[in-house]
Amino acid sequence: MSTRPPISVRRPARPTDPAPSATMPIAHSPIPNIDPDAAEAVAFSMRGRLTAPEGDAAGRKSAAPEPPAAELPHPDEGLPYPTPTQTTRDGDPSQLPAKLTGEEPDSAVREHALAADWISVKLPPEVGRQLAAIADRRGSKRTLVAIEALSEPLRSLAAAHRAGAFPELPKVVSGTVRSSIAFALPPNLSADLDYVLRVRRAVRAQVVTRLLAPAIGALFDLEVAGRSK
Amino acid sequence: MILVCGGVKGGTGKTTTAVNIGVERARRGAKVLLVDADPDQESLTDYVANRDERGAQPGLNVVQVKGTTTSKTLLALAKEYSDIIVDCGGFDSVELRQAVLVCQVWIVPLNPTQMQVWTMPKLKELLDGANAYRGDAQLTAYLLGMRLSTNSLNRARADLETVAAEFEGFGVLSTVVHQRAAFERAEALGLAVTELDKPSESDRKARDAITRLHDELFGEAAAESGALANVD
Repeated sequence: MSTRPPISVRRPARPTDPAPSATMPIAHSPIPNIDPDAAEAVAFSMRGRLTAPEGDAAGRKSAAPEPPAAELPHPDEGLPYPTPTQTTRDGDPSQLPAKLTGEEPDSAVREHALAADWISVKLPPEVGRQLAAIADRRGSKRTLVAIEALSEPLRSLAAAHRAGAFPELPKVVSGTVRSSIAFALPPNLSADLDYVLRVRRAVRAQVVTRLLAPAIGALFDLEVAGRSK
Repeated sequence: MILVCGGVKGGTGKTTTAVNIGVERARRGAKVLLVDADPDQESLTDYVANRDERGAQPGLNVVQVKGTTTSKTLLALAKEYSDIIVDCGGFDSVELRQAVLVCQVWIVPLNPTQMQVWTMPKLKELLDGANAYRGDAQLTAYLLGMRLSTNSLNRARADLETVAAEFEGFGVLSTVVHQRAAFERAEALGLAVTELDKPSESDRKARDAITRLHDELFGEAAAESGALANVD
């Protein structure tokens, strides 16, 4: 049994706020050696929300202050200085970077990216969830599933128009909350879509959304809901 | 270094962080470029325009980037500037995704309130998506306690640790920045809090927080610049 320690006449010290210590710097990642133009990198980026195209913010900040000329690379170095008037309009493949670092684009993927027909649509949230579930179950990507889902109904619609019919499009009800998706349409489907739009005098996003939403629903029933029962 | 201030919620202090760090880097002699990657708001551009109008020194360079050219533009600009500080909009944007594909540091200013913490799954998805392409150059996203109540330091810091522990790939900066009037006043004057004249006690705390944040982010790079003696 331990004995009581001798009585102390000094009060114990109170904890004090820790003195500010020298801050240890964080580790920096190296700059990754990636090709920002690779199709998958572009697809990853395009899952983000597109900002308003130029012209939507009419008259806003037409001239941001430019750095001193001495700070800028020489124009011959092939680096376009990104001023507000030189920003890239999203979704317009003709505005994708053609030559920024002086390197010639040499990959087939890049050629495809430049030639691709970019689609950006908003889907009802339930359809967005179904699309994500299909991609997740497959271990695939939303964009790839969307292209696959769109293929058959778009080809059928184009074929029907070529045969002289004018089919009704499925109704898609969407609230204010929507799930966005953007992807590059393969050239053959792009031709079909262009034909349909021309014949129907329709709006691209309307046609794509109204074909895509029910197709995703059907695919979801087949691959996810049907198999989870 | 390419540093991104970005998240998927507005009003968390991304632009405030970007301008204060940018000014501090410039004051220490680094060749800094601010990049406004929020074409919807252009707050960073507004700040620099205001700073220019008022003649504040050092002057800052700002450019705007937009869309799928963002990452390539950042890589090209990184050859010209020692530090590039990117301010992204408070949503899951093409620009944010492009920036985290190529950046070296990603800061997510966050006051760990429930609404802000609920954005973490989306941030995690973004981080994982970017790291899938980054190969060996895996990126850590650092949560910065920002706009914290001056009465809630201990709990907010602990909450940030809890959040980061829940989401792999996220870290927490040891520096926290409290909500202080100095930030609003400096912003209106086109200044950083480190540049305010006749600082009050609260102003000095804001200034110290930014200085600590700078040192934590740039560490050795700041010492190498050899310009530390010029800082008050």
